[in-house]
Amino acid sequence: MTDSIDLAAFEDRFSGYLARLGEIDVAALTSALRPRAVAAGDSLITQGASTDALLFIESGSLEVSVANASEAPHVVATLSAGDVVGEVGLLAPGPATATVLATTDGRVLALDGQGLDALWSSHPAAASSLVQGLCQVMAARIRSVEGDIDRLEEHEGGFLSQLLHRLLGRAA
Amino acid sequence: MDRSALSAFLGDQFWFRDLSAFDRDALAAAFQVKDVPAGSTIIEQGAKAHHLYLLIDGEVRVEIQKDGVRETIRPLHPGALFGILALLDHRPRAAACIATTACRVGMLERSAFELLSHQHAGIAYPFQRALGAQLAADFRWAVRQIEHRLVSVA
Repeated sequence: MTDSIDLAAFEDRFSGYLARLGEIDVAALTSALRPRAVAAGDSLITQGASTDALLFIESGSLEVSVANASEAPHVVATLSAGDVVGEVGLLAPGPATATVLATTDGRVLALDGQGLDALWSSHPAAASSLVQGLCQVMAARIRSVEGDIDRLEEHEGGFLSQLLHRLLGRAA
Repeated sequence: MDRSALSAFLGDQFWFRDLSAFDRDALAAAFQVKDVPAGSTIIEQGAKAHHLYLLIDGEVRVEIQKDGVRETIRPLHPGALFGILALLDHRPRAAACIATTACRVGMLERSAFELLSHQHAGIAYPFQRALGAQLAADFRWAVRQIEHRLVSVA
């Protein structure tokens, strides 16, 4: 596996996040990304641990789970090529809301806070457009649960998992 | 509250601290400041969205009405941006926002919101980061609420 990023394939795969970025912006973004090979079993994000990296999944399969100290992790979503994870940590660094584990080998492209700042310095419009795209995705996810967030105590585990899937699963 | 006081308030907010005085004044000028008495409805659930709100002073509570029952889902404190969702997705207001105490809010009209989002990146980027940080906080809050219930019923 090489360290290069195929620009056309990247643009194709992540078009939902790149709608506001022009060609030059996408090129600038890809040069700010750090490719990272992942092996099955690797933990990319750990619930509760500090995180600030946005991961574009280029290949492989990742499992998103939530847990508390005393219980087995509860898988709420499976992500694969074309999905993005970690936008919350990038935009507001802090403890991760879920654990993300690789279930197969693959490759992700990472953008951390420093990378975003660097992109902002070199290509302000690219950084601004990317953040705008991430805002749209987060807003859609929050919207998808907003009507169900009250009276959670009346709901069963299956329904709660479904809500978490809407928040943490594949972007619509 | 005059423009320079609002400009100073914006300068105290994390994402706007690095804006030049000129850009910060321009941003402040885009907001219309309004004082609302305790108990009044700032955003009505289901209504069409015309403004983004910045809470400058006081406390606001977010409420959801379902099946005729109103439930407070959380409080907001000064510095919070609210009313973001409907401005981004052009759908009706997802929840109601009520002034718990007497409040001072900054209102940003939809047209100014759109303009700021596509403004030269010097203002657009900090503005998008401020929105992103607020949405990320809202997102974390939602996940935490559900996770907390999930692990206790699992």
